[in-house]
Amino acid sequence: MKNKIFFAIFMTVCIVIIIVNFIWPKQTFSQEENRMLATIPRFSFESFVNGDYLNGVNDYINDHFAFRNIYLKLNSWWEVSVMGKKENNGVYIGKDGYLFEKFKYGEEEKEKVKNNVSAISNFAETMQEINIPTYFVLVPNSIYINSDKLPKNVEVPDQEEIINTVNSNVKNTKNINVTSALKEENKIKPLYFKTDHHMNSDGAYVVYREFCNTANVQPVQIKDFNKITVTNDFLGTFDSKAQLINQTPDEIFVYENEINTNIKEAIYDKETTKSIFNEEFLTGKDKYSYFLNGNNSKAIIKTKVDNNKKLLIIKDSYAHIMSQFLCENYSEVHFLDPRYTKFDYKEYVQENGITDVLFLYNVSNFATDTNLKLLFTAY
Amino acid sequence: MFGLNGASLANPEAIYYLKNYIVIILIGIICSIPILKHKNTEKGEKNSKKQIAISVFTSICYVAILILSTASLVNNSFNPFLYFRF
Repeated sequence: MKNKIFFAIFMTVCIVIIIVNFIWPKQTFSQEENRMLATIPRFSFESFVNGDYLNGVNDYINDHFAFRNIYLKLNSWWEVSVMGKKENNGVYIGKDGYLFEKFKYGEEEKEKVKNNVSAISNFAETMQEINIPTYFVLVPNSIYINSDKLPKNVEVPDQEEIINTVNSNVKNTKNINVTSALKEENKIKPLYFKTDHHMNSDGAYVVYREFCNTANVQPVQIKDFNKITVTNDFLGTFDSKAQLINQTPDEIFVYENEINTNIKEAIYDKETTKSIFNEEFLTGKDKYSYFLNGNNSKAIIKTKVDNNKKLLIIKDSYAHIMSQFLCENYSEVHFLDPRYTKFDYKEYVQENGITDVLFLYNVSNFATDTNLKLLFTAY
Repeated sequence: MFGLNGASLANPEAIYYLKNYIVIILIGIICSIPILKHKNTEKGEKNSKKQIAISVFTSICYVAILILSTASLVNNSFNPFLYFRF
């Protein structure tokens, strides 16, 4: 009797799961994961023999598992709320709603940093030859600045030490150390998103102000902007990874004034608009793309500032949110992302009459990115 | 070795992971000793209401474990590709 009841329930559940999976409507793109889902592999004798075919079937079934999102939430609920784990999918669950991606700094990362430092030094040298100043900012990550919000007993490598070492090794650049300024102001108001790996607009302003002080540019005072909230419903990359069931969303706010809302034009990869902001992204998942139209290989902002100064920023996505401030002081701001653009940057500087170059990276990306090396050793 | 040659007994990382997994370790310990084995299985009252209730409860537990295991497997295939889409 006991075995029969057990067998009946168990088999019913198994069969129902298989049938539901088979008939469930399939999607091609996952917003949560920001990637295309696997497709049904094509059968061939060769791929069957070497195992590719069945691996492909495996990927397909995993990616299209019915109620996949519910299973993900169920798993995080079980692990975090029931089992009391302080992390899920490599994201720490900190205090006060803060999430953090793990940051590791081992031999592999040190090697990449070394390569990036020499790539930047080499490039700055070629800029020096044509009398163009190169600035360099390495921005610490939330996990370091907000380390008091981490779960107990979690230790993070000292990013200030990493930044100081990098700054003392990189040659021919004017370095801007923003760590202590960020640490100080973060005590007054949050400078990073809780659910995303980026700085918010307050953090971006601190970096902008410190940059201006080094570059001999007059920063626009924060009180001369209008602070505007554009959404209260931002769940960023850390939340996508952690899949928590009860995460409070972040607010995205911007600082607007006459200059940054009234630019000449903004040229992106696929379109040219009149704005450095793109409201279309606020309705989707990837709301940080509100700034500078998301990940473009190249973005050029032409402003109505009439000083003929042209800034080139070689950067990762931490620079996107700074566009609102940087266009205050330059008639053109060019953003190039070496992850997606491979060409001669020196030629680009000369052709476009660039007057200042800024490298802007966050520590975590700087320690894992290999694109800078590829780019500049080509000369 | 633990606490020998001047090494500390546990570093913060070890304590962190122990705290993360302590509940599952305790469940594992409890389930691997015969503490929950109910006593009246050998008494022969196979169709009593109590026996049926126990059977249903056990089945529900098995199904719950099946679903949680499935969730864990599905989670392993979760691969957020967050920073770029090129």
